[in-house]
Amino acid sequence: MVVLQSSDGKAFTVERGVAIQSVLIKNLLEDIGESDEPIPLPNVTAKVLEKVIEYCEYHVDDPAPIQDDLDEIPKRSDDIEPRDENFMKVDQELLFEILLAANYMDIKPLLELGCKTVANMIRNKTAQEIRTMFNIVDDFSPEEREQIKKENEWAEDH
Amino acid sequence: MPLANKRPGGRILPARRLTPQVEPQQQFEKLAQAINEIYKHNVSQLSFEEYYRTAYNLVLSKSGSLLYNGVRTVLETHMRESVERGILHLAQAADADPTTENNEAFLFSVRLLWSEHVTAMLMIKDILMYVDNVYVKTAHLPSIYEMGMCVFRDTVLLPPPLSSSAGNGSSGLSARVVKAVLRQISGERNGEEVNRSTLQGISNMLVELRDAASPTRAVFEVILEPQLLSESRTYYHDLAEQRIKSLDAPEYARKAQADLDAEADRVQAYLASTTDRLLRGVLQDELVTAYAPDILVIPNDGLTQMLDRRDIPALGVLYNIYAPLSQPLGVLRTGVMNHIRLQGGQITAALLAPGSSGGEVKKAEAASEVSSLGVAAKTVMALRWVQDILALYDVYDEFFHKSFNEGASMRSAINDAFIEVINANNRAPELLSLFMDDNLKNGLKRRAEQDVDHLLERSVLMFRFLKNKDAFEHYYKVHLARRLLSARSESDDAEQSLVSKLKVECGSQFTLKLEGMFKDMQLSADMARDLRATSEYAALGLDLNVSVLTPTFWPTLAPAQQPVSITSESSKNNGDCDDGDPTAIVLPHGTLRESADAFSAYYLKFHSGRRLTWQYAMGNADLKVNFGGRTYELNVSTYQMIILLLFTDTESAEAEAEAKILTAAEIQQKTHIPEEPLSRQLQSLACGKYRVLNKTPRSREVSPTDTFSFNMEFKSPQYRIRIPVVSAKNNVETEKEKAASQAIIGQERMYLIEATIVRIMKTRKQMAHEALVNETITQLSSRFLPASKMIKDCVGKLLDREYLQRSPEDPRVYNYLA
Repeated sequence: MVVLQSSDGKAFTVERGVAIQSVLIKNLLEDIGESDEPIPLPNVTAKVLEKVIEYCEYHVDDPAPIQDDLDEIPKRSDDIEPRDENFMKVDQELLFEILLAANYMDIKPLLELGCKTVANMIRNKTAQEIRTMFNIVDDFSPEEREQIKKENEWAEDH
Repeated sequence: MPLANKRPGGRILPARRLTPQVEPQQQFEKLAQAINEIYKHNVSQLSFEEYYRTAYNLVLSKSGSLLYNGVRTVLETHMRESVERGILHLAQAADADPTTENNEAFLFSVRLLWSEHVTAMLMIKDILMYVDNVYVKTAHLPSIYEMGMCVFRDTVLLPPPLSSSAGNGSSGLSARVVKAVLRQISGERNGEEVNRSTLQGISNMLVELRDAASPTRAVFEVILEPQLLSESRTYYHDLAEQRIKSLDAPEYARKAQADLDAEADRVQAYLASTTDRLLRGVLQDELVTAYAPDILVIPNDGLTQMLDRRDIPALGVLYNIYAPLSQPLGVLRTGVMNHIRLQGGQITAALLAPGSSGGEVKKAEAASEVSSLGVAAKTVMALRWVQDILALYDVYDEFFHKSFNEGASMRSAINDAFIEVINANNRAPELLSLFMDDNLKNGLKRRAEQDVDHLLERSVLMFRFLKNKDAFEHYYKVHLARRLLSARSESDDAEQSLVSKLKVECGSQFTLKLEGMFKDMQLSADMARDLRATSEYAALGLDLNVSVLTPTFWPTLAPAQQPVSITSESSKNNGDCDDGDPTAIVLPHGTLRESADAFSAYYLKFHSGRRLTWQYAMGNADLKVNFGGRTYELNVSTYQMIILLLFTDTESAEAEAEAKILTAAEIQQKTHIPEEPLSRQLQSLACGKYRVLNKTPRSREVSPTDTFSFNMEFKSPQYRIRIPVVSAKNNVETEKEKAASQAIIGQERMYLIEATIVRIMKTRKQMAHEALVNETITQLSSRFLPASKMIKDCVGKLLDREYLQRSPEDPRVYNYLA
């Protein structure tokens, strides 16, 4: 059993098989050795850590991902399992925090899942709609905007 | 696209700064410190997660290159210090005094640094995993681990590059490492003990490090291997030079093999596996290929001596070191073949000049010596020749199986040499047939079944080696015919087995006639059985066994005879004499006459369209003869029977007074037996071991005026006696007989050559002379080897008979005329 400690001091006890889906934790355990000491994760709050652990527990028996197709095969975003899809139905803030945690803890499947989810949110939206959705300020100067438009002319739907 | 949201209360918050915004450089210092601690093995004090997070933050805050380069610098510094502190003095000591211990100490320290470095790098790589995953990929740099390896290589091993950008003052130990390794190897070769595990560690290090200039190759391959190979080459070159002068061939081969084994073991123990092939190549070059011919001819104990004393183990070792190399193997093959030729030549020379010790004998001398021997003695020598050749083959066959590892090239070498030896004796076909004949007649009952089979197989093998198989067929037919007709063959199974083996060799065309002969005998036996069951047979009063032969199958056995033979057994004594036989030979006895006729009649009932011609030359008869009170059973030839019956009481009173004394001329007149066989028959009756007739004068020669009478005084310890006649035995041919055989064979060959030429020209329509000759030889090669003169003669004949014509454009080319 492994103990993970969130930034706000909460301790989560999980099975080893669940924890080592995070490559960070896996390497740590290998290099430092097993101990009863909790592993501090100052970058991750309890709320987020809980979600991450939930994901890992569900996927504990998944076969190891194949390294090869990282860059070769173009990724799809329409092959999300229903359960995972539900899992990702959280508010945006939490969604992005989960992404950051997955990145930090090096849990590739979860990172991928997060990216797919965001990609689906973005798809077929105009730039303005995306800004609204994510609350992004449009701070391009007119010249910059012109530049960008020119560069992306080929992708325009006429 | 900027994610930061400038409006307060928005949904996305900037990434939380959980640690204060610290200077990247300071953050890095923490990592540098950690790396040093890792090298000091103080791992337990560290927080893996903290350093991981530090690296993560640095990458996120775009300080990736600071981090990466900083790590590299830390590693370089560490390496340099370690070398100066712990290795350099050992290197210098090894340089100054290259003892095994000093070398070992130096190499050990290098290896130790290496393994520590590897262990440390694994951990560093893990801590900096985020860097690998994110920064390294986008910056297209080597991974942290690879970078660590390169640092080691460049800082510790390699000499400083000329235009040094990074790492001035690097230590350049590679040359010393190589030297130390080579010295250790050299020491081990001379029998010293070295620490193989250290060497293995060094090799592994050199294999894992990639060469800077050509990263697909390992440092091992680039800096160590070439020197290793060249030093080994020198070492073994000198060693071979010494050895070839002082060792005999078996010892040389043994030592060479031992060296090959030792080096292979060395490679396995502590060198790169790719070196194996190259190092082996060096040894083979220097120890074997360079001296391949010389080893075989080392005086006092070279190849010939090994072969002569059948030193199977030594030959085996020799073969093993020669076989993988094509040129030495060729030399070995030639050596073996030459020796076979020599020994075979000696055996053949002994045949031509008995009593000579295999040295040079002039042909004329030999011929006259040989011709003075009796035919029986010559036959014995002939059989001995075959036996000796087969025995020699067995010897080399054993070599093949036990020493030469059943290598295909040795097989072909041995076979080719034997083919040469056998065919150098142009009487080989005849002799082989005689050999088989002898064994089938009386050799087999002494042997066990496997021996019989082995013998037959060997005979067939020798047959396969014969170039002139058609000559063999000719002789075999003759010998077989005699065997069958005189019922001298010991084992029908063996006969059949032999014929079927020949069939496998040559196809059924070859054995067609032989099988026909067997069939004839079988049919005749069946007919005799049926005949015996009839009433006419009982009336005959004598036991008649007739073999009816089909002319095409059987060879001509005696001059001017049709191939039907009669073997008759008569258990009646002294019957009537009857003149007036319509065939050339007079069958004097009335009962004999009737029996013959009765048989003819019976036979023709079943085969009405055929013509039977009696041949008396090959028959034999059992006679009960009364010599003045004592009765003996004589087994005699038909001719002898006819002659003897002349001396019985005749019906004609006028002949009575002369009945018991006859001149040779009279005998001839009465029986019409031709002169030559008659003399032989008379000789066998009067001059041989059993004197059934008295001859006056007592000389061996028979002249027409010699007189013969019945020998009433004849005595013998046995009741049943066989009177042998020379012609019944299969012997080596006399010169005259040989000439006759050659004529027959030659004639057949002409027919075959002509037929082949016509067949070739028919398909090709046009062919040049050379090509035609070659093609003809090829097509006939399974039967015999035609002389090109003979082919030329045949072409000439075909031109005359207008099957071919010379092409008008080019007289060397022939056209086919339809």
